[in-house]
Amino acid sequence: MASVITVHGLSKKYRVPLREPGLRATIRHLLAPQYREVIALQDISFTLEAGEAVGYLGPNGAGKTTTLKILAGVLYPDQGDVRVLGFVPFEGHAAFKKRIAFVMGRKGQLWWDLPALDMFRLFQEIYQVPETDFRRRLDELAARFRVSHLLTTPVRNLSLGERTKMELIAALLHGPQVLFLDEPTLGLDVLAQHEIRTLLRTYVREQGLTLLMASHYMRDVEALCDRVILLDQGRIRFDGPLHALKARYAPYREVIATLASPPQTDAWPAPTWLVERAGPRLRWRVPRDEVPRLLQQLTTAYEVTDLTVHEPALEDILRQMYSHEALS
Amino acid sequence: MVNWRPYRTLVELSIRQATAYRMNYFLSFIVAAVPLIALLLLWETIYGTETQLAGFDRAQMLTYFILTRWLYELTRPTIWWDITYEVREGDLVFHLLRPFPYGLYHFALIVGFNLPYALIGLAVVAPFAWIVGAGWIWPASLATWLAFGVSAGLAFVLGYAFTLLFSLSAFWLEENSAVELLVHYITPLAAGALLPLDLLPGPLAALLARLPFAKLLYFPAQVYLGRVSGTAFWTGLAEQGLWLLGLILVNTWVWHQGLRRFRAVGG
Amino acid sequence: MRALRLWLYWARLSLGREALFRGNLLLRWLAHGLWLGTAWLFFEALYAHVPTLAGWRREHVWLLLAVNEGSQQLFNMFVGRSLAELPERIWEGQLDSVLTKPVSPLFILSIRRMQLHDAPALGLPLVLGWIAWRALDISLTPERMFGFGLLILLGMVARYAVTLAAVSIGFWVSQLYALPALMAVLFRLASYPESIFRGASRAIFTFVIPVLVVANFPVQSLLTASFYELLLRGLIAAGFWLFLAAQLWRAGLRRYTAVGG
Repeated sequence: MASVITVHGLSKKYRVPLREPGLRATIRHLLAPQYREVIALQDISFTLEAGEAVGYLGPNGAGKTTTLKILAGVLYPDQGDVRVLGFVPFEGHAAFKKRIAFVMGRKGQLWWDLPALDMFRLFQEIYQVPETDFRRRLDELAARFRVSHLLTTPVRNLSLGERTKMELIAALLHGPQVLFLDEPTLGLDVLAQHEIRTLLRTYVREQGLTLLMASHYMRDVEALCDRVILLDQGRIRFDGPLHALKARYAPYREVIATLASPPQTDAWPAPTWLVERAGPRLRWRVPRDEVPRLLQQLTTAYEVTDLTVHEPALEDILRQMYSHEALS
Repeated sequence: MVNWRPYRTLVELSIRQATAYRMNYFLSFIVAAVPLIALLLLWETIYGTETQLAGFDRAQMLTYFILTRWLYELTRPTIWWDITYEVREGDLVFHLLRPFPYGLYHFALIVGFNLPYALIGLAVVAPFAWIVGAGWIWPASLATWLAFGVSAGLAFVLGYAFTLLFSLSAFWLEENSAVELLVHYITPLAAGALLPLDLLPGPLAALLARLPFAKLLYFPAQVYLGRVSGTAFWTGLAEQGLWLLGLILVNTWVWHQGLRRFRAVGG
Repeated sequence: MRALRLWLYWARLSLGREALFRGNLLLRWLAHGLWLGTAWLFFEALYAHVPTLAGWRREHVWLLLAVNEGSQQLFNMFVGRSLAELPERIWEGQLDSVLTKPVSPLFILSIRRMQLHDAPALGLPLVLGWIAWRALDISLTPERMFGFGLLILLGMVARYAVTLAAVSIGFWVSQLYALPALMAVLFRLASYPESIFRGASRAIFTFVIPVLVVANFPVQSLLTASFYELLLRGLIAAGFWLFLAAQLWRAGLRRYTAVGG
């Protein structure tokens, strides 16, 4: 079967108009516009198979949103070949638009003064969703997202979390096969983020949707995606399974042990890796391969009251990577 | 086959959205009607000594001003801030994702917005027609009614075509002041809301009669009064239609140019 | 004295801010010019067909237009914009910072958005007024000048009072934030000569909606000898509205502080 999304050699440059306030500047700009070129994407290639859920990571301005907009047909690519479900997105076929959805965490398409249900009806008609499908999906999504009782409340009166759920429902009502998410949990509190993550995960898996999600919150990615694409300054730095990313960029584990009694001598196990010592509490940063040996040493030679092994958070790995890149 | 249902729903939603703010709404028409009192008094004064003014007798003049007070609120071009906002803030993206034409989306919204406004306006203006009594003219025949209905309807669509064009300027202009100026100060004169064009100095009147703005108000009002009929009516209607067609073409072109720019800067 | 210092401070601030947008400024002057031009064209078109409007000749109306536009400009330069923005600030509960300051909140709120840079837009009405004055050959005695100035001031007081009353309603009905702006539209009526209003309508447009006080009274003081009668009518109209506006404003502020913004 052909891939759902194929991107080959995609490049995109922006022409940002240099504008100043004032009438004279406006007129000057209309006559002889001046632009600054910004390279957003450089020779990007990847493919997504049906049912794959991929996290799209990178610092601000790396080109994540640009890629999503190109895939959704909102922007033209400058170079390269982009296909989604066999369509060329920017040609804007109605059949294509009916099979994708794009949710932006920082923007909403619902009107504030009206209840969400009214807008859902409108989208049903715009996307020409048959009544039975519409009812079934709406009932199911609303029940799942636990917002059935809020459908007739004006959007203005909903909490940010509830509004985000409504935006997601609005995007899913026409039964898209491909879902693009751009920072879907932006600005939400931790609880709401967690809830939306969980809901999305089950829905995406059950429906077999193909998902490409850009996010700053690594937990979003960890919860929803098996594979990540890492983007930096318009280029792909990494493309592979999440665990491979961690193995490659985070070869260390953090081991924290609390001992029953602080040892008298300075003969610590694995002293080269020891990074912190506070009374009976010791902390190591150990290469992954060394972890079993250290654990064995600890449990045989000492009386350990508490022992934890941390895999570094994706967030930390990325932070480290970016700051490293910035320096080099 | 055209799928009408989204349009119906958009109109309905827009009506509900508009009536959520009915207070300001109502009020703006009432306030707009107060100057009509002074205007009518002014005409009463003038027709105290004159019987005809540029071919308008008292009843025609009073009717012209009462009618246009109402009609101009519906056909006058404005800046539709929803469009300007969507273009500037990038919310246009949502429209690009939907399988639905942008211009018609907002047309449906404007129709919905204007329906209750038209009714309120009618309620505000109707007493004036009643007060001037014999000064109020009804169309002479069913044919005149029909002709007026068609030309007023076309005027409304033409007004929207202008509104769309002015609003789409947001693709290029950070500041709309210049466009707003045009809309607020020049169109009332050019459309015949200030005065029937016949009363203006000859060359100016001739120029304005050629411009499309006259088709927004002056032409349907003339039709209503029966001052334009027969061949003149059909010619006027054809001109109205041609202007509309031209504006649709211009709008399409502007939309594609604007979209190119929108996409060049990343939406 | 302190009020004057504060006023000067705000004046400098307003000039500094707008100097940044000179192009926009030109457009606004153009807008004012267009407005006056349209009104002028309207009456010119009428006078092309009739010699007088119930006794008012074209030059009289020129003077009337000039005075009305000038008075409107002055009003907008000093307080108009500030007042127009007030209902929105009330609605959003943004009065708190002003209420905590040891000065009259009404004073600060009335001058915080002065538009002094619009002063050049006064040029056009001045020119039109000068032309009308030359054409009418009015002799300007010091008493006449003083009476004229006094009546213009009274007109501005009336305009201020009506607008403030409209603003104050915003304390109760937040939806009516457009009311002050709508009042401004209403005051455009001031450019119609008084002679067209007869019977009840004259009383209504003097006292209920005091548009005649704004421009007609000063102009008539130059054209006729009935200065004291005009002054009396103007004082009653402006005084009544000022009293009403002050009551509304005070009650509104009480409500604002009671509800907690």
